[in-house]
Amino acid sequence: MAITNSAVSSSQKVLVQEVKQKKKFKKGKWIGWLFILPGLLFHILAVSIPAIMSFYLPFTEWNGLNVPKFIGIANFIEAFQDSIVWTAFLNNVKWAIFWITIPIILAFFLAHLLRKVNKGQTLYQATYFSTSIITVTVAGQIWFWIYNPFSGVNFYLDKAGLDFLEWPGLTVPALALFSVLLADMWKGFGTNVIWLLASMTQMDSSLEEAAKMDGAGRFKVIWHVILPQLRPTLIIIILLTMLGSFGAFEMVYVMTNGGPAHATETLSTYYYTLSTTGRRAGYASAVALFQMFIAILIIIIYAYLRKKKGWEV
Amino acid sequence: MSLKKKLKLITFSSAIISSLLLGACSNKASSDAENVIKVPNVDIWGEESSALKVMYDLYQKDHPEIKLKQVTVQDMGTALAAGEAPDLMLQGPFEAAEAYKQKYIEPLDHYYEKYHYDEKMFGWAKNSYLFDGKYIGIPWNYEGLMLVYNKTMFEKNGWKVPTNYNEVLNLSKEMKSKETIPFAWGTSDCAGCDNWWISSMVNSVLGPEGAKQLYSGDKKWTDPELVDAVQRYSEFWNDGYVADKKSHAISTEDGTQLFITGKAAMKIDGTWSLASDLKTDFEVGYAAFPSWAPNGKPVIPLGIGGGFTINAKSKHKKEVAELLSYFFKQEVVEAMAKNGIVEPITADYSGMDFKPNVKAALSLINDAASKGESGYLSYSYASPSVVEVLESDFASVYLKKTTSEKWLEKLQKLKEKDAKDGSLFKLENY
Repeated sequence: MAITNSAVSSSQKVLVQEVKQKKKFKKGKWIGWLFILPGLLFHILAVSIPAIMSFYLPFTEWNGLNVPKFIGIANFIEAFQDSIVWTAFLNNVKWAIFWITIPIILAFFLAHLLRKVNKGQTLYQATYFSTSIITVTVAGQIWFWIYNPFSGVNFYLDKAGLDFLEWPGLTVPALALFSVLLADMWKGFGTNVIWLLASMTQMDSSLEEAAKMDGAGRFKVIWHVILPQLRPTLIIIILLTMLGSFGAFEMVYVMTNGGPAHATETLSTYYYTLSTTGRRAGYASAVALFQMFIAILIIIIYAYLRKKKGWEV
Repeated sequence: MSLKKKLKLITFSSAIISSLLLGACSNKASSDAENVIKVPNVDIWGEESSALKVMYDLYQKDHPEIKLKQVTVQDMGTALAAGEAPDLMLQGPFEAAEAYKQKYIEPLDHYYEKYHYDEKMFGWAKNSYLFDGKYIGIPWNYEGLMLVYNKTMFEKNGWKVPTNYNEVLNLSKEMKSKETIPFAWGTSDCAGCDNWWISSMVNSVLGPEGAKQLYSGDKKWTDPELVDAVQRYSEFWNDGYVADKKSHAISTEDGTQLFITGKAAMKIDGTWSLASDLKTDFEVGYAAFPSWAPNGKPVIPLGIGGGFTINAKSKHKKEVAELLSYFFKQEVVEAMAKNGIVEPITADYSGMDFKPNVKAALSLINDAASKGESGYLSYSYASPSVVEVLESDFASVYLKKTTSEKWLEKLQKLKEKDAKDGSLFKLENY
């Protein structure tokens, strides 16, 4: 077939247009880079470089003042043998188990009940969410005072002859972590209520109605109809809760600073103490790296399950 | 987009970036240029450090051309590493030694010669800042631990101030029978405060010379006398004589409240607390903390609370050194003493008007020192790794997470490690 002049010229036009578009795109890219440059510079200096350093510091002995001295894997060997690291790790596991069960289950049932409320729902939402906006310092201090054995709730229960209702609070080391968790739950579970409530409003109510018409009881509706629809939200909440649990720091720091006798110590509070008052930033970095690997492991497990089970978020 | 518009955009973006970068530098540059000297905030330690204001005011009056800018630094180590530490710093002896090793601290020998800081200074206090043959700081106070008690309650019940462990135990049993908590104490916000008990135990059980040898010489933390003393404390605590076995669950302020409200009869405290008056409706008494030996004699552990150092990177070293000479002026000496934070110098306090509590405590310490009944605070003289455990882990003993023997073995290993690193306080400097 003969190639006509018009065919050649139109293909040439297309080619020229493509080249022009590419040039325009490249020039546009430059402008884009200029806009993000200040933020990028800040991120490199304040985030990326320290993050890269955090892979080097665990192999050094560094008191924060001197030049870090390379010591190989000595910090990791010490961490493996350090009973406080294992106590802290176990506390983080307990924190995770607590947070992915009790608060989430409570939040779910609360959101489920709130969904049925027509009048005053905003007020209820605001009430449950209000504790989430209190700063950790204030929330921790409130609960610290509640738990005070000489002037807190127990003192008044004792005076009223209701000492059987007393909760040991922070006085019994074995229960101190649970006491801190209660305070943390009081502060934070309102956020889960709001998330779940928002997710429930997106559900297809016709499925629920159909199930009820078919004779499904309340709990069967929850188990077979509501929960499957909430799965994407629940998965995200559980993932973020797990990650947050292994980074637990603020409430512990405010209320007990890891005490008494490391009973409430978490990985974060331990390496914070090591790197500040302990002046062992190298060893602290090794513990922090261990914590990072746990987080990576959680994400890998989540990604694997998501692929295997076909979870869509 | 037209070329003109592009050029405008590039110029605008460059201006923003440049101003951000320059803004970060300008603050530092301008303060250096304006004869501004950065000094610690007078509120650094609450009422205790209020005497700093007297020093600053005196200097400022003579040097109106220089501006003293008070700054608060959360962590001096971080500030030094970042180059943001003030010109004048307040640091403990070991902290200063570490900073000096990294060349962050200016040696002061030349300034000692010029301004005669040590004219009236106690030799042992001056030596606490001797490192590698150089004087790297000026000790700002000396402090001691003592027994604070409800004098009115004692007189009402006919109780005698205990002087040894046996007397403490018997008195505590009697107090408990009358539903009075023997010792007020709270450590949830100050695990390191437990170290005060250790200091008292070490000095009273081993004596001042024994304490010295323990921190820096041949005596071991696993010495049977010490193991016994620590074990007796653990039993004492578990019998409910210290904040009713709840000291770990309440703060230091809560502990003080137990004393102020009369629920507890006694507490251990330091002379630094004299600056803040205890608002009580009873008379407060001061005595040497009882010996932890069954029939021993009290020994008051003394030490240096902190000291002044000069930032090696300061552009105003001479001015700061001159400022430090004002620390020894009569007005500052008096202000420090009135707050119970006594400068480690020989001074005549007879003409000064002190609060009764300060007078009582200072007499107590001077009396003990003159009789050779003063010892050494562990946080001033024990080695860094040992102090770190003393100030973080004693609760493990009385909460029975570990035994006294194992805990003291750990301290001994840390002392040996510090000895290898050359971090022990030198015996000749005591």
